[in-house]
Amino acid sequence: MKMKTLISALIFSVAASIPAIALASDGPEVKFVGPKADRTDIQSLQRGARLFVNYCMGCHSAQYMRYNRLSDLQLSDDQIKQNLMFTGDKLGDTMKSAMNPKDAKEWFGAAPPDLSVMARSYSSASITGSSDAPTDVLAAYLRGFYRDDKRDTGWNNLVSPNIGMPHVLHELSGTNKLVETHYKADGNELKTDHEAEAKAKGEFIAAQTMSSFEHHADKKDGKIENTYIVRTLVNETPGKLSSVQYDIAIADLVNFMDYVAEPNKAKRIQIGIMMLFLLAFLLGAAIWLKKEFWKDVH
Amino acid sequence: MSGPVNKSRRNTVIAVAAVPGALTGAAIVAPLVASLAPSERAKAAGAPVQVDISDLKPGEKLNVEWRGKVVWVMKRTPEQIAAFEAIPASQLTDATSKKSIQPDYVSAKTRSITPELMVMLGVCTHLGCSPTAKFTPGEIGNDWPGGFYCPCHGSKFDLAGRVFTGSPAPTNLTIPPYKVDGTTVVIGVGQDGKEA
Amino acid sequence: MATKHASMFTNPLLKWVDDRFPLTGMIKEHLTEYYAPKNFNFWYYFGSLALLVLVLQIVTGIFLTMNYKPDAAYAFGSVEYIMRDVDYGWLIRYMHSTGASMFFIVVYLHMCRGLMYGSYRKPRELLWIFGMLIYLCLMAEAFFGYLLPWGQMSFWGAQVIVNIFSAIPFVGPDLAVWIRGDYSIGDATLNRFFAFHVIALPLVLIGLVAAHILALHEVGSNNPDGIEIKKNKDPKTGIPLDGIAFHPYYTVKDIVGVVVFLMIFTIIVFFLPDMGGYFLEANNFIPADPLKTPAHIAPVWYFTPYYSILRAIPPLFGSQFPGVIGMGLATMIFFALPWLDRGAVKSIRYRGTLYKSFFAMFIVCFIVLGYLGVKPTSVWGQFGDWASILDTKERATWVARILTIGYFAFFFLMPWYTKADKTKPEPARVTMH
Repeated sequence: MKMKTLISALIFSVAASIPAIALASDGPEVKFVGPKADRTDIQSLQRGARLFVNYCMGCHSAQYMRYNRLSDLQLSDDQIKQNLMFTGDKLGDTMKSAMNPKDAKEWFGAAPPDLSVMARSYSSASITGSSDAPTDVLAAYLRGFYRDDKRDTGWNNLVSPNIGMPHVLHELSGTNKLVETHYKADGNELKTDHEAEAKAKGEFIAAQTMSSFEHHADKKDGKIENTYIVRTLVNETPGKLSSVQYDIAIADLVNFMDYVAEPNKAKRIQIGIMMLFLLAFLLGAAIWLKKEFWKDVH
Repeated sequence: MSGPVNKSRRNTVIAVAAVPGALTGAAIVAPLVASLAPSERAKAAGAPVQVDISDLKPGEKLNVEWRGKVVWVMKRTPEQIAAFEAIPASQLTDATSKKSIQPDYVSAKTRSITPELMVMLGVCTHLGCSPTAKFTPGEIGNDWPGGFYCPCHGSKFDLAGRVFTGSPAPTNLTIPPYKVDGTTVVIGVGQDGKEA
Repeated sequence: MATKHASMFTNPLLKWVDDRFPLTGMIKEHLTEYYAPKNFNFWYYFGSLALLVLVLQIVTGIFLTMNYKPDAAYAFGSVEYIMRDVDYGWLIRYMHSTGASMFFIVVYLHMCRGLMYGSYRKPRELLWIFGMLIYLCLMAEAFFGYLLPWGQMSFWGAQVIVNIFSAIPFVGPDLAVWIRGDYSIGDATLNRFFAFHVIALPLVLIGLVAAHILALHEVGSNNPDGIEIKKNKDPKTGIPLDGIAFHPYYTVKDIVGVVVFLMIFTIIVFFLPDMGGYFLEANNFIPADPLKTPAHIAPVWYFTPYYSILRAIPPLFGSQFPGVIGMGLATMIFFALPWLDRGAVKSIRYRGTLYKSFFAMFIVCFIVLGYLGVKPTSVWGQFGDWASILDTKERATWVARILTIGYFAFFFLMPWYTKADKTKPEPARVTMH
């Protein structure tokens, strides 16, 4: 058998041995439909910076990010000082929150994590309807808060249930409440598990706001009982922004956090393009060199 | 073998390939070399320092740290100013500060922007020790007008930082770039706005 | 033992060196008068590329060490310091992280060449052994290096692997404490892993690479046809008829290989440094937290075939040790290849269908085991309750068990199928394709 045939046979057998995968989810499936901001959109990043400093830095630091780096967002030193810095900070300082981490741990149960590289800590989003960017999880999280009087902070979250963080952006988004529906094969309208699942999935897909779908399997008297839960957020009281405006604000904030996670990204891409051109040129010269010498061989 | 080796053609090919090759080599080495330069953290730590002199009394000296070195900020009394202005040029190695380091905007006579306010690097120009204050006239000898004495190798400086002859130190004490903003002295930025 | 060569230089300074150091001798023996087969193909680029990546890792590593702090309290922050505050620190970091994965890609392809063309056969057994020792050192080097960023994956990956040692009967738990220098992975562990990664193993690696190249040059390179070119020498010059001088022919050819490699390397470093979470794992951007175990701990992609084998083997008598043995055996069994292979020919080009089938099966097993190692065992769902013999219902684990059997069958059955294999006659002279 010739080498080429062998290699194609190998590739085929590898491909054939990976069956169609049904990803078993560990938790609820979340739906997110919303805008995404462009990394190169400076206005979006500036708005995101302002949101971050005003709403997040009360508790969270971005301890690896320096204020003077924000000149990347086409802001002058004065603009940074006046709009984005607390008094007493110097331009060369890093973005540290004023909150004492020990106090924070007492109040919220866990010290609010540093957000410098938070946007890079998500693996590829397995969220229905998203562009699959890992940061979609972050955006979904920020949109997923709802009122829950059973929690100490008064808030709960669809994406990260029972999280200790309150909904700091509620004055912008307004208040959402959770509407939870359970679907079971109860023998009346829904005779089989299959029908229950289909109805639940239908509601989940049709939902216009943040929603999640969960499959719960309980063992009752030796039999498995399947419940399909659909949770949707419904707006109770409006906030300063309409839902469309709020979605854009979140997109801006996540965009900014994505920038903070890797401020050098734009430069990296720029240099990469130049290096590829140089190497293409070098490749041509190297091939010519090789061919010239190999004229000697047979 | 397909005929004799065309040496000159080979040399041309090598020369042509050497150009992008050298550029690629430089592109690989350049970031490594650049990474040795002071980082953003070092530059931030070396940023200008602000000193509040609203409470500074005549004859009082402050020690301020800037870029890891000690800077003296002192309010000289009229007697002290008169004393160092009276020192004859023959007793000073660099009376006109021609060889010494100071910004253009400090006056040649007092080596400062204003006569009373002295801002000076407290680092001996010999081998880097920090001289001690000997402000009392006569403290270390009958003709001593008051100034600084370096304990390491015996260099002597007046209250304008000028080095006395006979000292191992070759030049006057360095004046860093600084500016005065009301009752705040900013060390590290010049009156001309230029950062050190 | 080496004959004294007349200096090849006219420059007086170089002549002075030549009188005191075998400069001309070494250049002739290893470059200009080292005759390699002229039919090297695509698979023969990876040796020089491996050397290139080694140099790259050492150089970028040196510059990273200038700014990295091997202290549990400062390590994570120092990496971000390099990424943001050090001029071009981000580029040096990405080159090092990409280089680590590229090292394994290059080495696996290099080893694959060895398998295909029988480069481990006599008289190259020792060459193969040095290569295997390099592979083991490389895995250790990568393992130690991975702890250094002190992220969640760094910490917990190290925790899991060191805990494997505690599975060894009798001495296990004490051994694990001794390796860590503490009761759990901590600052003591970080400091010693740093020492191993930065100086101890690199020195060993450099020594082994030198030995590897010397062993190669002693017997001469193999080639895609698996025949020995030294059998046909020019009666006048003694030079193999199918041999060409390494320099300038293969230096010039390897340069092309280097440039293509650099292009791929550039694309990854500048456009895809995370490589979808395979080269820089997302979880590692969270600082190590001993109190919070990640939902899914997996080793870096280049260890995953062996990790799969470890997970696939069920516990015996309540101990996970059989899995550990299996994983160790899977790595070490490569050493035995020169003696397991009883085939009449060296190169796969002249082997029969029996051998090719086993070889193809091995490659498939290796790759799919690797894929399964990245995923949690729940990836393909479960069989029903009936399948819970031997402790699992997970479909992925059953597949991994079958693949593990296939993996070992390649080696254990080799003395039989290489002998029974219907080979084709080897040519007397090399073929060019």
